[in-house]
Amino acid sequence: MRKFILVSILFLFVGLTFGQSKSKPSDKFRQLSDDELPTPNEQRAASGAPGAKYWQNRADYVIDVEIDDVNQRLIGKETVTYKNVSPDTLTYLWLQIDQNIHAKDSDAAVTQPAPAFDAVTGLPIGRLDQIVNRTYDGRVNITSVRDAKGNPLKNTLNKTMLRIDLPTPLASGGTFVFSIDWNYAINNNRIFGGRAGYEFFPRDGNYIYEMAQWFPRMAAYYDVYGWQHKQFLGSGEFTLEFGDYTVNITAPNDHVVSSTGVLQNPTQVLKPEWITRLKQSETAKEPIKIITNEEAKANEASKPTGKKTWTFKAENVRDFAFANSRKFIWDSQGHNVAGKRVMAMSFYPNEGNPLWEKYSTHAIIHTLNVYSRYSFDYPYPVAQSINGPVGGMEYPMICFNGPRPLPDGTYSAGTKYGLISVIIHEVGHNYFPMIVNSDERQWTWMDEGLNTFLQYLAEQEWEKGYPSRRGEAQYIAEYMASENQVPIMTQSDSVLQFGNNGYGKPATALNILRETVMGRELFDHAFKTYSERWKFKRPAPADFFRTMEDASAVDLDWFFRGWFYTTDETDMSIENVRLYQPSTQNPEIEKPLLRKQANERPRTLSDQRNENLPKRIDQYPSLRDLYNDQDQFAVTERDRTAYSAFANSLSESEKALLGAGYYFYVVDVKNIGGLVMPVIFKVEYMDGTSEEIRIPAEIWRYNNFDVSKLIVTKKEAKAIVLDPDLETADTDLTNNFFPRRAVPTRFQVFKQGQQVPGRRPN
Amino acid sequence: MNKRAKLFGAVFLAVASLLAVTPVHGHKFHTSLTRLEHDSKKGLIEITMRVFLHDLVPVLERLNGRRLDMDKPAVVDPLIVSYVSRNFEISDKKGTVQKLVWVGKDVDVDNAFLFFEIASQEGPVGFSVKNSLFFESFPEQTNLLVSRFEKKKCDLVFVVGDKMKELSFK
Repeated sequence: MRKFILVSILFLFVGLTFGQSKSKPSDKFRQLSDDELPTPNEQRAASGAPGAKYWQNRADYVIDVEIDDVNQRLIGKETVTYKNVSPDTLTYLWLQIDQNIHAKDSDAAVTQPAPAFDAVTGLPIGRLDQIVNRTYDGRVNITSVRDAKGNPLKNTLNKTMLRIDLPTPLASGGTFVFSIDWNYAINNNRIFGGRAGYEFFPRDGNYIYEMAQWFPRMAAYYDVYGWQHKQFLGSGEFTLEFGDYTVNITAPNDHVVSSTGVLQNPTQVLKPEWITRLKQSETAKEPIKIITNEEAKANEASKPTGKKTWTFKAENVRDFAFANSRKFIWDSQGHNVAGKRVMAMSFYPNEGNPLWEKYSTHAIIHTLNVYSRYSFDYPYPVAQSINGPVGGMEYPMICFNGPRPLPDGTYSAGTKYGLISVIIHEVGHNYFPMIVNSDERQWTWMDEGLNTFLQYLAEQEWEKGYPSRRGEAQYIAEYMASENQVPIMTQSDSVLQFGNNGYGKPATALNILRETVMGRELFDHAFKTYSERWKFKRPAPADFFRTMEDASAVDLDWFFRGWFYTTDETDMSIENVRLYQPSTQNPEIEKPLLRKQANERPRTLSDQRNENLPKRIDQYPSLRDLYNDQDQFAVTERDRTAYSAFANSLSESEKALLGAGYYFYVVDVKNIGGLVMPVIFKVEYMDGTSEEIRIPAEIWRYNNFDVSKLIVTKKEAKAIVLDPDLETADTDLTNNFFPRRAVPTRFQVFKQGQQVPGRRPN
Repeated sequence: MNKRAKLFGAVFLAVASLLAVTPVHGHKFHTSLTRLEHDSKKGLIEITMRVFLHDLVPVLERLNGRRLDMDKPAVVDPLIVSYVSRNFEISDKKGTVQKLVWVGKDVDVDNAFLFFEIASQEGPVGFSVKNSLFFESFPEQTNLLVSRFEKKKCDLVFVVGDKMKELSFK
């Protein structure tokens, strides 16, 4: 390392230095305050826990619904019991009528940007048909809104939100019961997209129905926000109230129904052999087929001879979804979660095999195991995964997942891992936000970010080298280096960077918090505390930030501020490394070193040019004296005597210290990107070994931008690397090496990889 | 049945069957990130596009008219080149459209990195770009373009409706 300066100084070494901060008043370590967090109150405590007077309202439902398989329509009637636990008197209630986005003239339909007619891919023909002849009108026909006695209730529809004006104000603690009848044409999910709808199979003429957001649902009224009744435009999600459901689903009598909740009337709707097989599956070691592949295939040709009504009950859920088809294969396996049996079940058509029968139910059980460990035991009696047109969407106890193999049954690795990952992700959503009921409409990251993070942990436990978004920190770094961002916490509906801000950046932040800042033990305990505190309640971001600190005693305000309230990035640089070594004071050693230094000093230009000029003392030797002839680097008797006296004055340990040959490296690190992060060094030694040194982020507390750190080593260092394992999402790796190294871009790595035959780029 | 009806029927069935098996992703998370850098020694503009596989595959399958096996580069790569060339336009200062040269792809479980290069000695200053990848599929698609030239940056975002934007480095 030629750049190191070897300085022999009389005294020892320079200690830790602090950079100057006069011109840069910045305090990234100040506590999160009223600027960022709401004041704690009786509903939400300063510790991050629910307060002593935390409240939430409740909605119970009894619903009769029919799926008309001939006309693809849904007809329903519901009775809602709404409990006002809040301290406020309510004069009206709001309900979500999400299906109205499929109305012919809905905002969502009317505000669609022009299709790209010149797109090289063209348009699916079905979509073209609907653009020209928009025949499908998915508007919800509300045919009756009545109170418990059957009297009509005054109501007003605002697109996807229905307001019911209460005949008398609903006081705190009061309950209001009302009924709604409605019906609508179900959307063809392939053409109109969305999180629900049907898929038509032309080959056998059958449908799969995935029904969600299908009934008028109570909007949430809560302390932080009031009524959460932002219009449903298709992309934002929602939050809802917990309650109990009894739902009677009528379908053709040759259909199979899978639903949130537990089936109450199996003997009326299930074939005897299904009931037997279900019983066996309760204690099976592998998933068991309740309906086999062949039985499902044969059923595709069936024609119904009537209808059946399936009754399901679900307790303490915030939503309700179901799926039905005559194409379903059904497999099941009972699973023990902390002494309680959970039925893990998958429903899929033959088109989903061989992938689905191999992986789906296993993936469900794996998710329950891993997520239960990091948060709380899965509290519901069933967990189901359905294959249909919807790519990936979650509801309590049931989720819809899209990946399928090719028609010939083969599938790529991408499809396989895509299926496992989406099942883990969607089943995982039972925890966040189905049970830890954050407001997705406001804070997407509170469920998507947390869930993506846990999904990553579950994937790593599925198989070694599971191809997760490996190196999440690296991918997010590119996004964080971009100028076009908004902070995660300036939640906005236009969310330009919705995906990255909702999923990737928060998941990365949590991973860094766990692996690099807090460590697994402290993080896992704090995360579990948060999950348990807010189980079946509705947390807000401050509750999460406060709990993570409260339960760990790690000051995290700097971290949450940086990652969630700013668009700063991590870019730290080793600016310089200076080496100091103590002088031995021994002239036999030090003087030759000084001589060597003097000889190595470059000569000035003037010096070089003056070399051959005649000098007076050469002409007149009498001018010479001892100062001309003395060798300043020669060791004299006086030197030796002085050293002897010095050496004798030292104790044995002091002698050992000076003689040990320590190296004192002062490493100057600069914070260019703005985010303060832990400083992780890897010191590479001349002898080929290396050592890792981890320094908490608090090293930046006196100066947020420049810091110098002392590293004392016994061996000579060759190089120092910052963040060797790419943990901090550093956006510029070229300044992480001292001496500097060229860091190839991904492009260059790929190209180099291509030039080596047989070597697969990573 | 006459030829035209047969063809129509075949196309319809092909497209309909595609529709029947192409999964629609529930969460609306549609974004891509493209990085543009200049290698002055080689005189090349290097472009790395990161897209989601679950966005790319359906588009390629529509182009192909049938399901695709992503492990067959001979079939897949030309489709990618065709689609990207028409949706990622880059012109120099004079307005001359630059040809994207295919370098290759690196495909992960859900990520696809697509590599292209353009011959250019002087670099991308003053070039104009339009990035309309996936706009025909998702009205809410956002395409990020992160460009670096001699330590200077230019970051752009493209949303549906955007036209060509100039690369101005700061």
